Amino acid sequence: MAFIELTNVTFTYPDCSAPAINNLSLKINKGEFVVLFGASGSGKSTLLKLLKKEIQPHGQLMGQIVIDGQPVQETEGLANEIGFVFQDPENQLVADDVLHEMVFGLENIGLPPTEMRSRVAEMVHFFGAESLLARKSHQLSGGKKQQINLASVLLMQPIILILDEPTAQLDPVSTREFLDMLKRLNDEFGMTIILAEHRLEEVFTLADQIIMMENGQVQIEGEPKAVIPKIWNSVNRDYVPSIPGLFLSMNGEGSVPLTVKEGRSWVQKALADVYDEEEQVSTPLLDDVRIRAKSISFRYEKKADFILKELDLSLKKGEFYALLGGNGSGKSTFLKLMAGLLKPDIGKVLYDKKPLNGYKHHELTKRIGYLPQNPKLFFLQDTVEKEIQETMAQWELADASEADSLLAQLGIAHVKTSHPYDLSGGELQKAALACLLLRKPEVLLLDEPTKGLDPISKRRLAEILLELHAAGMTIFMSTHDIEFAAQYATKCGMMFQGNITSEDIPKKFFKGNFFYTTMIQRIFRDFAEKAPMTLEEVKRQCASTKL
Amino acid sequence: MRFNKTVKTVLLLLLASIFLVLNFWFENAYLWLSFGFVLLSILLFLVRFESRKVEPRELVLLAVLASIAAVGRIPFASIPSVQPTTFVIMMSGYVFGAESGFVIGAVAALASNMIMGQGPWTPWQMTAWGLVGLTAGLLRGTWVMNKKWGRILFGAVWGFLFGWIMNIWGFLAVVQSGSGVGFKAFLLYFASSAVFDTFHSVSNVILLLVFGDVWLKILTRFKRKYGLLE
Amino acid sequence: MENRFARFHPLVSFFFYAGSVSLLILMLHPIFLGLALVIILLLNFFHDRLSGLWRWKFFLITTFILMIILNPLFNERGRHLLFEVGTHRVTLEAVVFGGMNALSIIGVIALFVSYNVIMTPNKLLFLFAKILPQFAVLLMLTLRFIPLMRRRLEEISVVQRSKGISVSHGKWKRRVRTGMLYVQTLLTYSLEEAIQTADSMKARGYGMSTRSSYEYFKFRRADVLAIIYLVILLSLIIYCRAFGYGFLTVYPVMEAWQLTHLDIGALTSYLMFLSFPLFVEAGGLFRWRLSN
Repeated sequence: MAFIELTNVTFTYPDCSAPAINNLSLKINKGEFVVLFGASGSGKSTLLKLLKKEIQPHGQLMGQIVIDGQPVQETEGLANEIGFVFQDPENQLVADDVLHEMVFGLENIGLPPTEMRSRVAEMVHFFGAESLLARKSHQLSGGKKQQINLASVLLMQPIILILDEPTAQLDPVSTREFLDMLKRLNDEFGMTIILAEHRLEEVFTLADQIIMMENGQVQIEGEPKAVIPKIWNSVNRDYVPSIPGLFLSMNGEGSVPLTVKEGRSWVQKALADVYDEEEQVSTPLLDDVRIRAKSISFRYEKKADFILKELDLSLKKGEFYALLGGNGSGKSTFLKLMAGLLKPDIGKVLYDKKPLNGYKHHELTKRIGYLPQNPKLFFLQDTVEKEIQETMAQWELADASEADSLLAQLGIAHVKTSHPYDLSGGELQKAALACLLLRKPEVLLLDEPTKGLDPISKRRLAEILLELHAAGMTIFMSTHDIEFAAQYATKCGMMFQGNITSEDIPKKFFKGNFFYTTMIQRIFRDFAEKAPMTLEEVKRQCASTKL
Repeated sequence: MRFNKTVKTVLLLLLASIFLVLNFWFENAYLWLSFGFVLLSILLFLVRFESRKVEPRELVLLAVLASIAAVGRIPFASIPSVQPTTFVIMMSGYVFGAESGFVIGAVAALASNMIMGQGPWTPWQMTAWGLVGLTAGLLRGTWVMNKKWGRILFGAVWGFLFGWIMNIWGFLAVVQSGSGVGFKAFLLYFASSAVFDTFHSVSNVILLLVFGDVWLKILTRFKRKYGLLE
Repeated sequence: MENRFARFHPLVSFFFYAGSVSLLILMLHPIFLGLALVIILLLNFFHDRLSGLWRWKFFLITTFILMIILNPLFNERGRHLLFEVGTHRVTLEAVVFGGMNALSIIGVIALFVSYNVIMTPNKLLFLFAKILPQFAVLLMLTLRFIPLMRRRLEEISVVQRSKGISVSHGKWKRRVRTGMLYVQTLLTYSLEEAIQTADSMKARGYGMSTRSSYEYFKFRRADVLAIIYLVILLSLIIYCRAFGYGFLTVYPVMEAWQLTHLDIGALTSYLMFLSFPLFVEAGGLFRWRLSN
């Protein structure tokens, strides 16, 4: 009998006609690393929560869930045997400082203080977190917060670890760190890990078993290499990362490459002569500068360190600019300065050659649309429709049909009467975008628009942005998503320590980089001068050579 | 567990009786008396709160409401004399009941003072806001509070009551130990704070008028969502 | 400088401050109060070089002046007439009485300034966890949420400003409405998110059994001795106070300020009680010297 076994599980939420989990059966062996993925609403979270008695949602449950030979419904709840880490790092924290956060679970199970201390000492050592112990939890970065959450769960010495999209809110570096930690736990301690995740390129190499869910059912399951071709042929093709994607789109033969290493050896054999292509002529840019930052410096408090230091930037009309850079390099701050939401301490920001403070507040807002990282805070009204009406009243717009066609165009006409918080991440973002676009801004500033989006929503977002860009919108976005920037932007910039250290068209920008570049570029790096960067490029080149 | 509870009850009673005996001993130590009285009654409420096992969801809900009450005045920094703290506590007490209302008010005051710095005003603030929540909860379901004007009246009255409670300790400090400060001084003392109290009262009324119904709807929705319908 | 008094068990510190506040409002005698104020100032000096007190200077001075003036203004009782303003009698009794109250109140406030240095939120939380565990968790959550809410409000205001909605522009009515909409958004958003907080508590076994607590503060021998020292002194003083010593009767007739033997006994105990943290610091300093 498998360690975790689900037989014909069906779960229906109250007030819902369709079940969230539909006659699902599943087996997981002890010590396995299982990755669960699927579009939002496919039932991943529900399934994970059903495994843990304490947090099972209300509703009607049928079928059997057996863990370690014990039916879950009959247990009292196994707080210390199953650890659960949630998506949002912030929401899980209950204490003001790190130490209290870590021991929260241990206090709950009434562990005596001496044992608590030795466990904490051990865990702190494992995480290398000595310096964090005395810190206030709200001063930590998202990645560190999530590590603390993990540590707090691990202190209870679970046998099974369940994680519900734990890295969705993290940047790539923290994601890597977090996943490496999971790998160690699996390898070195044999912990059974069940992880919901949609950035598959990160987890393919870790997982023993991959499960794709759709409509509350298991659609595909198996080993990564076996599963990928099946995903490629399903509706979820967007989930396939670029290296296996390249392989599959070229109809490659043999085993599917997952890593850059495997990719390179395959490319050497199969695609030896496809990458010599003439440089694509990029669309000529208008030379008019739309927003110009003139050696601006900024800090949040007096006596604090400067976040931005003598930063210069020109954003030209019609550009699609992607600003890359690590966490805390000042990208978000810079975006706020460009939107006039913060004032630089030194230097100025010009819009159409006129300083920002020469504009009236509403004149500036009219021209610049700013999409925040967390679109939930965008909405003051309790339905999307009301928010749109409020926006129309504010900007004295009369044509209601325009709003409707905009919603239809963005593909969210069906959520008009919903509460903003009931929307999925992608829908919410589009709804906020719709409210922005109503006032017809000339520039769009987007703060990490791809954060937490699943691949399908990401592609939809790209299509929308490209459409806007084609219609003449100037777009500036900050992002961690290298693949996204390489594929869609017309210009990329790198932010480092409060300054923009390099900028160029994506092709040249990424060519110079060693670490900070796309997977495809890494594969082709040494083969040619003009190594392609994206899957699209390779495909195009192949098509042209074959003709 | 059981033993622990008895010990606590006995200790509390002991504390109360020591306090009473001492007061009998001291002549006219009003200030001391009032402090002791206020602290003891807060403690009594908290012990009562302790006697019921509160689910994590409810606990988190109470903490969210208390912290919002505590930081609610920030957006109004540029608009003097408007602050939503009393409004938030009142609505919470009205929707979630007297006990929750008291706890939200008391915790909001205690926690914000723990961050901003405690002072002799802490117990009074805890009592005043606690009572706002408590009375809002006690009066719910009565015909007065079921009417919108009734709730507005309630808010208006509390604008003044709040100021008076906060004045008591200052006033007692002046009158303590048999000084003959008369009724006139009493009136003057309270009149001097009347300006602030009026602002407080008016701000309560405005917020209740404009936002009362919406907040009632929101809080009731979450009451259902958190599974706290009795 | 390291603060030795802060290293005592929170119960000791708490008892000291509760006792001191009681003494300050009970022992109304000019000599007692004057000396107490000196000690409290020294205490503050040792703890943070008076920087905490400095922030309260305006409040302290106005309170002091107000209280001294207020009493003679309303109170004409007393035999020793100082002067008359119109028909209003200003008596020595009234001035002394007002002065004593003023000293008592600013003493209490100065004591709280020192309390805020010593009794960090963690210590108070620890004490609460011992007697009111459920309330302590609630308090802990609230303390964790307050900075979070503050940051969220800041974010809301930035995002809304980008939409052209702001509390610092427009008519008063509009601004109040906007400000309240911010708070309302904060409410809905936070309540929505907090369900996950509750789940994370449950997932970590909250409510399954009696909570223990990660002991930071062990009750050591020094703590026992300190408690005994403080309790004995406090009982002595209260005993004296109950029989009318250490207390200046002002009305109807002001007593002489002279101290009887028992008064002096009470005063000595009183000063020893209040100076307890000073003794601790001094002892530490002395030992430090010796070891060097």
